[in-house]
Amino acid sequence: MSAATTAPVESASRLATVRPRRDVTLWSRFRKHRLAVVGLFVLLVMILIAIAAPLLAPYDPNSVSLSDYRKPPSAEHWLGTDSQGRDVLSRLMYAARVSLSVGIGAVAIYVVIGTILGGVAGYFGGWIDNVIMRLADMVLSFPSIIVIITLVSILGPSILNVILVIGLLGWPPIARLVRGEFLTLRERDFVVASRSIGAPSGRIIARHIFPNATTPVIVNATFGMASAILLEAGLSFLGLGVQPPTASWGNILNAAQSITILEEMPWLWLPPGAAIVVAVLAINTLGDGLRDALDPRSRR
Amino acid sequence: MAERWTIDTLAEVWAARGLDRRELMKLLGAGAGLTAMTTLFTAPGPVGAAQAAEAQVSVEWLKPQTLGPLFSTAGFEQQVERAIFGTLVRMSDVLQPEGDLAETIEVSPDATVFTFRLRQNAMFNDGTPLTSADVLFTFERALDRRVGSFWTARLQGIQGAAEFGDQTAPTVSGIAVPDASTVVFTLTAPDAAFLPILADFCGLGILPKHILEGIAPDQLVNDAFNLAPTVGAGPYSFVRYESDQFVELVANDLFWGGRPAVDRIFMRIINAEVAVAEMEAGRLDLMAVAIDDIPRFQENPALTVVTVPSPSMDSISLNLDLPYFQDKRIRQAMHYAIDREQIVAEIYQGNAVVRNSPIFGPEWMGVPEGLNPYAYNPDTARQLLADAGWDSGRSVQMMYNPAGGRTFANVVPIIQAQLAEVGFNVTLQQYDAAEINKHLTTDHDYEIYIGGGGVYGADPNISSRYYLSNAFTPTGANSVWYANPEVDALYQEGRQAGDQAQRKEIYTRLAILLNDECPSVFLWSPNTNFVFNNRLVGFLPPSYIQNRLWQAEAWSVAQ
Amino acid sequence: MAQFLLRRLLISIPVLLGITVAMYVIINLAPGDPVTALMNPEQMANLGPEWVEQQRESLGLNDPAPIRYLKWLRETATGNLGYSFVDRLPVTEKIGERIWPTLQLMLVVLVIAVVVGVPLGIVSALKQYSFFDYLLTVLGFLTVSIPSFFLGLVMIYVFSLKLDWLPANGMYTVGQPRTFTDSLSYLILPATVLGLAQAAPIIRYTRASMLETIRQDYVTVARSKGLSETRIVTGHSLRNALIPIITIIALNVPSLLGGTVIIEQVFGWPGMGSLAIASVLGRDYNVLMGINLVIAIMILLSNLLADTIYALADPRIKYA
Repeated sequence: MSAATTAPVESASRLATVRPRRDVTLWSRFRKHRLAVVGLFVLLVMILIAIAAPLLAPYDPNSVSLSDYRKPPSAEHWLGTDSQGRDVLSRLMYAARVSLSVGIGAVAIYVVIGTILGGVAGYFGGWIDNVIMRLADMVLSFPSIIVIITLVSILGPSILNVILVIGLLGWPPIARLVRGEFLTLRERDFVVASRSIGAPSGRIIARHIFPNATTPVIVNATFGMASAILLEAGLSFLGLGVQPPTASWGNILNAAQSITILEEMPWLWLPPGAAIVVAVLAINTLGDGLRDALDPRSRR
Repeated sequence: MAERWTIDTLAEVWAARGLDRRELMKLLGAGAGLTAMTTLFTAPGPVGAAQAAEAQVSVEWLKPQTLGPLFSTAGFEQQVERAIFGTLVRMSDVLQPEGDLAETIEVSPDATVFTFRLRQNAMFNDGTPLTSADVLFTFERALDRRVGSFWTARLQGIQGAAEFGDQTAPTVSGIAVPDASTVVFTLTAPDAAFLPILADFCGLGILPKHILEGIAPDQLVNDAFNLAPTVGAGPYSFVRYESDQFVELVANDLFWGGRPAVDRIFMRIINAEVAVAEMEAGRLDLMAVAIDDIPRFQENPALTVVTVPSPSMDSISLNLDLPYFQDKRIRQAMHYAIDREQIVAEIYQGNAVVRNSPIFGPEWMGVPEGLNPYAYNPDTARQLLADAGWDSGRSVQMMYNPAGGRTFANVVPIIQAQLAEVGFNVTLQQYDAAEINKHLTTDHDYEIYIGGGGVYGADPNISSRYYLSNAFTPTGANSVWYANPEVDALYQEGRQAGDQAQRKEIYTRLAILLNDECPSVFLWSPNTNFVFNNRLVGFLPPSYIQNRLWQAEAWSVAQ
Repeated sequence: MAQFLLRRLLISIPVLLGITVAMYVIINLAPGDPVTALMNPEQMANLGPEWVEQQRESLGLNDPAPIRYLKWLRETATGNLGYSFVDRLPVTEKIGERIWPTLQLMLVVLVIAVVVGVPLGIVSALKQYSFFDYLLTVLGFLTVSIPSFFLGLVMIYVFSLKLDWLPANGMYTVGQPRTFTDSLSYLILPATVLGLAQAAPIIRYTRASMLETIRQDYVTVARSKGLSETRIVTGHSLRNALIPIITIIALNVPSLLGGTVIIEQVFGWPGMGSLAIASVLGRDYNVLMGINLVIAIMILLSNLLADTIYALADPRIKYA
């Protein structure tokens, strides 16, 4: 859990150490994108809340109390209680763990798959490249939401299965990116030079090609996290999301999918709705900032 | 029944009884005015004048898979089929079987011979008279195993049903048609519950022989007629089905009771949340309403909310094949552990009735006395679990279908928490209907299932299908695999007893036994709630779960 | 050019075959039986296992999966997609009546997305790093950050229930003659919810490609010749920026299709998305295979369109 939530921070810092000269300018360019900095900060706060949920949450998120059925916000329950008399604030904090790990977990899976397949295709080329790229075409042409719905209903809805299914279907864009990077870098001087002095392939890939491919992959992965969080919410709407009583932002929001609740009980939908919007917004602006910082064309 | 009422005469009658419509509906909600309403509608009266402009009504509905009476397995489809085809018997508003296409029903004293005389003016909407030949055709198809009708198993009490079904006999020996308007059913053994079975859920629609006789029995299921049943003898005729949008019905000019006053009914397929908006905007006239939405509709002067008790029941099924569920004290403990009274009060807002046995209706039966109420008591529950040697370290899986409604879905985690409180740990698993069926019926590999349904209230014998030892799934509906010779014997006795007083006594004994044995964990019967637009006059709360079209032939529209 | 198209089409065939094989495997792994999927347990029990077996046999479900796939493929090649297990209607007929509502919805969504997205993207590019630019960025991200099912409900609440401006469910008013304006009023809410989300990437790409063309030499030349900014923007920059924009729209077709699945559920729009969901729940394999085939073809065609436009626009890409 905590390993997964800190993954992007880690890779961001790795980015900063691997190629110091380039990344000093990267950070300074990133800093200029004020929104992105705010996004990064908000995301970090959310991750912290998710990790520290057991310490911060005022109540047990699954503790049911019939006498507290749908009570509006009060001094005891800052965000009110839900249809089972559970504390909304506590559920929201615990839900952050689930929703963020769906985002991060799914993306982690497809980044790994995409990088390996893209790397293999780009490095070896030829028929291997052809097979992998056709495979990517295939997965890209899948009616993905229908495949996801079918797969989740086969495997049974659960956090792990939602992560797995989104992860297994998301890799082609990453593979294409990494392959593209390999194709251009393969012929670059420093790679050719390393090869000519007899450095083994693995070493060349690890030392020279991967670090260069990291940046576009990170941008892509950031946006991917946002859409995975939204996808989990959508699956909850279709009854295929995370199983109760475990809370996710998606299933809390879906439990409030009623005109009467919308009108009369804002504490049941506003908090999860805001959490999803703020998280997705933060991640997207972060991705936007990273892209601007990495893409030389958007500089004046 | 044969008469229709105009708005004016209805208003007159209501005024004469010192009731305005709203009060009448409130009474109905309390269950008190039911009989008054029956007499109101069965009393003879003048036939209404023709409507000037076309009167249309929109009703919230669900997506149908078929409208073929032989193949429908869902109540909401069968309601519409009854409106299109008409049936021999239907349930009255107090859950008593009464004639529909049959004008009179004679039952022999020993409840083995049932004679139906059809209405003289019963006619299909294409002008062909409906005769006993159509009834015979319909029941022959229902019994023919090549057809695959779900009625086959239900009608096995008819003499010669099995032989005809396997094609070892050319005719059903137990169905005779002495003349064009008489049908006689003879049963192998006395069955006091035969009429309720025929009426269950909305009765078997009588099919037009002249349209369908040319189709091979095993091809009926594939026939286009199932989604375009254009010929029938019911009050409304099928016009068209716009896939996933609506079914359009039009008043049948040739209906035996006279052309209904509402010219057109649209059964709209619409999701529950959006239906609320459509209802308030006046684009929908009638819908089944969730408990959350009742107050908002009650505040709306243009709408009326009606509440009717339901014959169904929510319950928890434990797979009794598993060694760790076999001790009845475990099931008793679950009754004590779940605060059913407070759940009904808080979550259902009083809109449900706690049940302690599967026998609670119809009116002549009532709720048996002398049952253990299993009042909420977690200490007793803990004690019982300890006595039964329940291992609180064990975790069992409880599956459910969240499509059972928002209120139901809200309750499941509460039950989970209350069971955990006494050391009975369950994990929840949501499945869709397909997977529930697989685990519950086909494979029988579930641990616990929570869900609702059934028409227990229609007849005390109805619950036998869930608890008889010869009805284990997948060949029967006993999905808990409960077996008890004493229970079997009592169900048998009750079915063969002639008069109601005797039946009542037998079923009371049975209820007390089941109440102690707890083959399932009995929860509650959630009331059925409807909201209708006041322009829709004559809507009567239906006898069956969400039967929106019950008495639809008596509807009219206020201008 | 014809050669290029032909080659691309030929490459698509194995991809399409691969998709159908993969889908067949996935669908056949699903638990539950199409014969009994949508029955309630009691009624299923009434029918008994023999009946279920007989139905399975008559639906051809007892053949081994590879045989069934080959049969399916053979029939599909002749244009027969089989019959629905649920209501026994031909799959081609079921999809046929669903594809137009979905295409109609997609088209209006695209129109909304382009009408909103392109002008805002241009303005955003011309005023790069201004307050307006930031505002648009935030608003754009906001529309893609709200789960569409919830935004849909909010829109229904506001525009249908409170203001009573627009209907919330279906395609046209039942029981009344169908008119263009009536149908249009039913399209507005679902198309707007999706259109706003689809506009966001168009704003971004329009902005990016405008920024790129603005800096190109010919624009500088045009400017130095004293042409007005409007002429430059509409006449030069936009024309050249349009190609990548169209490409992006074509590449966004899969996400658009994905969006319609949920929106159709919310607004009771009788398109392929709601048919797909019903087919998953009913284990209606034939319908599901048919939908997947149609959607895969739509996606492959839109990819081809994107590639073709790109190839036409960029002389460096050779057709052969």
